[in-house]
Amino acid sequence: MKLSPHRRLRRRELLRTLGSAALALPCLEILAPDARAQQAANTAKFAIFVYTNDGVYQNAFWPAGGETDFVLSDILSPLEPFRDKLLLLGPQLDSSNHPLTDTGLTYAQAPPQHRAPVCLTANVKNINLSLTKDEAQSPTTVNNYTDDTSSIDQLIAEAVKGESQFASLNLGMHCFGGDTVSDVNYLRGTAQKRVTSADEAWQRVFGDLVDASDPNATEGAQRALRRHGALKDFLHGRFSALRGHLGKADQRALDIHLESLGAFETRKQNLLEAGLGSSPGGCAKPTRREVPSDEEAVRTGSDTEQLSPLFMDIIAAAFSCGLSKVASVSFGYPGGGGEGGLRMPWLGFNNAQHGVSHHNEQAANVQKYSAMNKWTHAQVAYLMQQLDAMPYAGGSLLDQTLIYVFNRHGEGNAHTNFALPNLVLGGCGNHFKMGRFLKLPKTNPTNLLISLAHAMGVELNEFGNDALAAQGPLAGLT
Amino acid sequence: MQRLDLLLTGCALSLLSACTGDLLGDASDPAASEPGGGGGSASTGPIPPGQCAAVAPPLEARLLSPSQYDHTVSDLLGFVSSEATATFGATSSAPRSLAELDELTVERLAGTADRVAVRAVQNLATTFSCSANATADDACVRAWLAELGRRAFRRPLADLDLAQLHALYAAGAAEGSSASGVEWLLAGVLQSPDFLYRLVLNEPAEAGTVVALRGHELATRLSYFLWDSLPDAALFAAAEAGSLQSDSGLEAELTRMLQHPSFERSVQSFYDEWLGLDVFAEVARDHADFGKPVIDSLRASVQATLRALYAEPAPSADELLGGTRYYMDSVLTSFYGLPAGPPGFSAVDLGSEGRRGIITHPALMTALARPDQTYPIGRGLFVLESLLCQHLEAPANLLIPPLEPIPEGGTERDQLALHSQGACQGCHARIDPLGFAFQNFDEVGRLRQPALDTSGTVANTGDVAGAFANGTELFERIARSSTVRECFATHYFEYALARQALLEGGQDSATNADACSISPIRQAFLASGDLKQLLVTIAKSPAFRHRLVAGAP
Repeated sequence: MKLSPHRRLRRRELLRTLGSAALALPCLEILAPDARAQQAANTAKFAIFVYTNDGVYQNAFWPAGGETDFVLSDILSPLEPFRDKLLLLGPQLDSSNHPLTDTGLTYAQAPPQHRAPVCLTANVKNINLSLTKDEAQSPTTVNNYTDDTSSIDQLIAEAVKGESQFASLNLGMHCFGGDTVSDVNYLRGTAQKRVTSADEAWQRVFGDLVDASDPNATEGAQRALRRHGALKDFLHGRFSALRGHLGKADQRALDIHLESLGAFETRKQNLLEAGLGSSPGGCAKPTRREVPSDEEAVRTGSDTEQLSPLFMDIIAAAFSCGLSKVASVSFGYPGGGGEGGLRMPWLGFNNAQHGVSHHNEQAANVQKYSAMNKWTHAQVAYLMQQLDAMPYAGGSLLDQTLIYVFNRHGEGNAHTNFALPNLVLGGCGNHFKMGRFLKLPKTNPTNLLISLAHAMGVELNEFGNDALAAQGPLAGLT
Repeated sequence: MQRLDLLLTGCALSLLSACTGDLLGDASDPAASEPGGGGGSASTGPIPPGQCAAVAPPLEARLLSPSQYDHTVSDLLGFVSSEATATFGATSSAPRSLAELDELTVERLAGTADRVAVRAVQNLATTFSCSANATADDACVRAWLAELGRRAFRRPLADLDLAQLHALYAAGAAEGSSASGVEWLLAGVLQSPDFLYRLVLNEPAEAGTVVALRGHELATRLSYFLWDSLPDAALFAAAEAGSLQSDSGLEAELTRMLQHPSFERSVQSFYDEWLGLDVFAEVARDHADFGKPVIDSLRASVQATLRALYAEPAPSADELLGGTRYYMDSVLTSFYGLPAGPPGFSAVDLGSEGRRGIITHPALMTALARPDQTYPIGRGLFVLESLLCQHLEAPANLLIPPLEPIPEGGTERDQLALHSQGACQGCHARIDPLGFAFQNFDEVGRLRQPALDTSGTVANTGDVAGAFANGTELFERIARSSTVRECFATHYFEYALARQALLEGGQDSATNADACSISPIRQAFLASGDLKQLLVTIAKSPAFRHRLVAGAP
């Protein structure tokens, strides 16, 4: 159950949390040496999880060449400027550079229909994709998972949050229209909602930051703080006035609501106060790029061309300002075909990605599919560029950031579960040996998820429950 | 209305092993597939109708839907608001449940309330009935607060409630003026659980007993059922006078409410939910001419159809399910290649295209499709769940292969034939033929030419069962079907009660509590076919007027 006022932290989860590098708790002293070792040098400070849909065109995706002298494919070519910060976890390839079946990162057998929930949870057993309307309305329903599953990004986010305002900034482009209730980011069984509009994302992160040199803005912020206090008193007064007049189920629902309200109020207050005094991290509001938000732009998907880089700007600035350490971005909705995923009319065609991904090797579709794949990777390169431009601890933010690009399929056409086009990017705090293209045998991505946690200084040695029961990090990465 | 739909969609459309036998039950056993009670004769439990009220379940809190929120704000403050729909309108971002009230949703509710409050101050003369110089302790301000609070919370206020409202207003007014008092107050009221939820407050002494709803509780239930909004002054007055407790007093209010302009809101809201048309806000098709004008007109066409239907004193189910008139404007006649009509929306007879009733409306055919092809599975599931109240249980741990592409020169039927073999047949044999019946309407609702094979056989679905030579034959069977009408009545009952009907059958009153309420509702609807009278019988039913007082935590 999400947001329970009586969270039950399992021992394993407690250990994961306490293993965090960011929690300076006295009890760290009693942790096992290997947990503390993780806090030493060579861990990344920031993480970004980038979800992409519908696989990639496998026959033109993987680099040619060897481990360090690899030559990027056209689809991956936007990443060339950062080739020393790439860790490409590829499959074994045939003489035409096409992947061999059941090599590379491979999801466990017999996953549910849509693999998205498994991507970061490695939990293939307790998925509940078929909520009825009534179940969804019930105050006690968990979303998607019938247990308290958390995805790796959310575990990391909770562990490293520290003083930052957002444990995890979850953004997504056109996250609607899917037909399975499905997602990739889970906290104790509940899918984490994403912000999908430019206005909301901007307002949420930077809306309360004022320019401290502007006296009018400062006065406005002081008034906003007083208003915030009065509203808080009133709303808490309302919740207590109702207590004692509600049945059990209603009280439970209102308790959940009140806990969410408390978290929101605290963050809002911190942001308002930060706006008044020294800005967090000494940062300034970044310049905001224009994103068309009219109905036609949203309907045709033409807004994505600007929305995507805006989201990348927001993430980089939020990291730089100390507002967050973990973010996730979703290119389209992870829940199946439905309205068909992203459209990229600026590429010269208006087809939705899902239909294009079922290309059946028809040349026109393959060309569109590859173009969409390439544009998506160009966006990842843009994100790296923004992080690279921001100074941090004697280097750049990119040096201290781990980016995991992941997909629910290998190839969209046949929904393959091998040769996943998942990439580890960024400096990763020198945790991994970067600048490499590995051709892996059949490899459980769960081990990689454990490696990612280690790279963020979060100790955990078992995770998920997929058929391969993965334990420990993936060998050969560090 | 959508369980299997959640699973059987996307590009992967078939159910493998788990979809046979075990979870579905024996397909030849009608009882196994009627959890919604749609099939055959009305299911009646062991509870005698006279004691129906004694088995009511608790009336649990429901979050206002985005449209209810907006309509309530509009009626409360006197200006049209669409802030909640703008914030939560996309189906995937609307909180589907209380359990989803996470921090981001709370933040969105705060932002929505803030924007409404700012607009209220811009319309201060409409919103606030006292002088701009009035202090927080003026009698006028206190009276205004009491009235606003009573309407916003939809119940009489206690002294504590009034004191808290007053304190917030006073804090805002202390910042300068009554305008800031109003702004702070509304921002608080609209985030308050009393406003956001349809709540029924308990007296602790009553726990465990079934009681009749009190006047204001029944008034609120009626107004959200029939107006999608809060009660008006006359309804509150009737509640306070106690006249809703008698059959005659209730009937008088129902008659008035069904003639009120706000009734159209709830009609729209019900049909959006029943037909799944709320997805229409996000529909996009690869078809080059299918842009915003066509989409807007399709939505408006459904509204025009319903408006014309419900303008009748006794709108008939025959017309809803079997009519051949569809409302088109110039955008739609042009897009669908029909002769131009007069300006605005006017009725066009499309019976010759094989269309029958709202279920073949081009808007619905579009909604139940993919960006670049039709979607027989979605259409079949719509018939099963929304028209026949058949609920396919989703098997656990599905391994669903993606569809093969449509064979060269073939259709979606050929694609599914490749797919629905072996173990998959358990579900697909029941779903697919119903979807194929609509195959002559493409992904943007146009008639396909030349015509495709729309024949099939319906299994295990009450009086709709049997072979049909083409889609129109099935649609006409649906239009006459008692099974479909009983199912429709059940859906409306669930809409009215904002919960699933408890019709599991058997002796357990907790799971079969609604059986004795719904049986006469269905019988009356079968006899009259009157869509408005159906709402009257639902509102008069014991299930609508009673509740179990739930125990304290």
